[in-house]
Amino acid sequence: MSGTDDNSRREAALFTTIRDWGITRGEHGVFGGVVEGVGDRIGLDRVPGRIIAVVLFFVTGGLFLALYAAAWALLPDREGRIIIQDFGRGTPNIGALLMIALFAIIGGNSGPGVWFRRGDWGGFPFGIVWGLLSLAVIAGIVVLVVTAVTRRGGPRPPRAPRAPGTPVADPVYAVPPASARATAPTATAPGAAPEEPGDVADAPAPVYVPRPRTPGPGSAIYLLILSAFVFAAAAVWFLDREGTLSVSPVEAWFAVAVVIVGSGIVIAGAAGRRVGFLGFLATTLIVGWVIGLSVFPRILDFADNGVTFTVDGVTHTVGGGHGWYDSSSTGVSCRDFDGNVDVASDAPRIDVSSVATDVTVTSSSAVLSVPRHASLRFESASDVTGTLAFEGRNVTCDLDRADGTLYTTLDTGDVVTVHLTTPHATISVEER
Amino acid sequence: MTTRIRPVVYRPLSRRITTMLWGLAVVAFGAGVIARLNGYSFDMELLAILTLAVLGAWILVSALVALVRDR
Repeated sequence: MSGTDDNSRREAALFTTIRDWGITRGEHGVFGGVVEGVGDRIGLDRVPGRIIAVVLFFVTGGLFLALYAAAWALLPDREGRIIIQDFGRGTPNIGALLMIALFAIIGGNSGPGVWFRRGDWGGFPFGIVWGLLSLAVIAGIVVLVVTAVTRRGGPRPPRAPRAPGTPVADPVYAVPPASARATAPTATAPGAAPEEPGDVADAPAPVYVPRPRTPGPGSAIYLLILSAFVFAAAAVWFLDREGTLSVSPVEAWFAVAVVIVGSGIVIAGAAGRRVGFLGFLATTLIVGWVIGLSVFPRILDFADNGVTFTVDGVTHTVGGGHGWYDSSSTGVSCRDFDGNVDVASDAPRIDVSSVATDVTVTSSSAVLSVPRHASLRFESASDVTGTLAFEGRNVTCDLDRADGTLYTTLDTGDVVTVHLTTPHATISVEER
Repeated sequence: MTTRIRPVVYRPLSRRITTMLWGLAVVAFGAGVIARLNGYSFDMELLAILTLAVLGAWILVSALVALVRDR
């Protein structure tokens, strides 16, 4: 185009510098294509790039989101368009700008471990620092826009009146750097109309050059994975039938599925193929497991949720849809775990390394880490009073026993005897 | 209508290694989940630190490879 050199000179130096980095936002991005663009620049695949982005998102709190918003606004796409520059030129991409603003506001108002304070910035001094940082990001964006508009070579010339019915001309963009031009599609699609007849008249006729493609995993690898899925289902079912599976068969199958999909990715990579749908599958499984294991510790195990205990020779099951138990005569009451259990922050953590072990708790509060599905027998020389919190089972039980013994079963297995020496003890029981 | 066939290009060695590493990371995650379900516990904080360090090393190596390639 004849006008691009003029526009390149008129562009603010900031944008020229950014273009010279050679990072262009990708065309297949989930949001703005930033991760894809940075990945292309450093030779990182799209899918692992997204995994890294998700990890950074969780690890850094809002900081990654704010940086992503800034990169989305400032990096050019494959055709050289910069969102914030277009905004300054009066041709805004409204949808992208709204998303960028949303990311900036959420990111700026969040910090490590805290998501979107909604006005509560966490107190002095870190909350104030994060709050100021949030304001600084927003102020920086405003300053950037003003600078970008005013540094384009003085005041804008008055616009010539447009005749009615005249189409609005496409905005003219600065020339992308050489690296970006090399990756930008240069061929004209068959049947597509030329953009500007005047330019095409001087240029040679466009030649369609099909871009080479890297094939996906292919039917052989997909069928291989499918067969492994089926074999895994048969194996898990068999183990469950034999009673040797310590978790629910669905849970076990999904764990094996992660290994199978990972193996499929290794095979596809070795064959020089794209990861394709396997990347999406792996990402979904990993995110599902991370959420399942951290946010909802027992999300896939409703079947054996709850706690069973024996008191005065009678067995009761509470939680997990079995209802609750509250008896003044036995001195035991169990309720939904409400998170308000008063375990001291410096409470000792007692790891019960194997089953059938005697453990003595001498402090007023403790975290008791026991093997999964363990059985616990609480004994005390005097009356057993205190609170037992089974967070993973969503159960809290208050004890006020006269005979000093309570037999608690998380599921089945050998018995761990817990000797309580301190009245009014608070014990958080964790399975591992 | 003319059918145009796009030429097929398999990935170079460096991209293959990257993809295989990514696959191995997924396998390792799955193995960790299986171990977790079998009663093994992990120090999640240490694991997060190690993961960050490995990611940093990975990106550093990628940057060095890109630097060498661009010369």
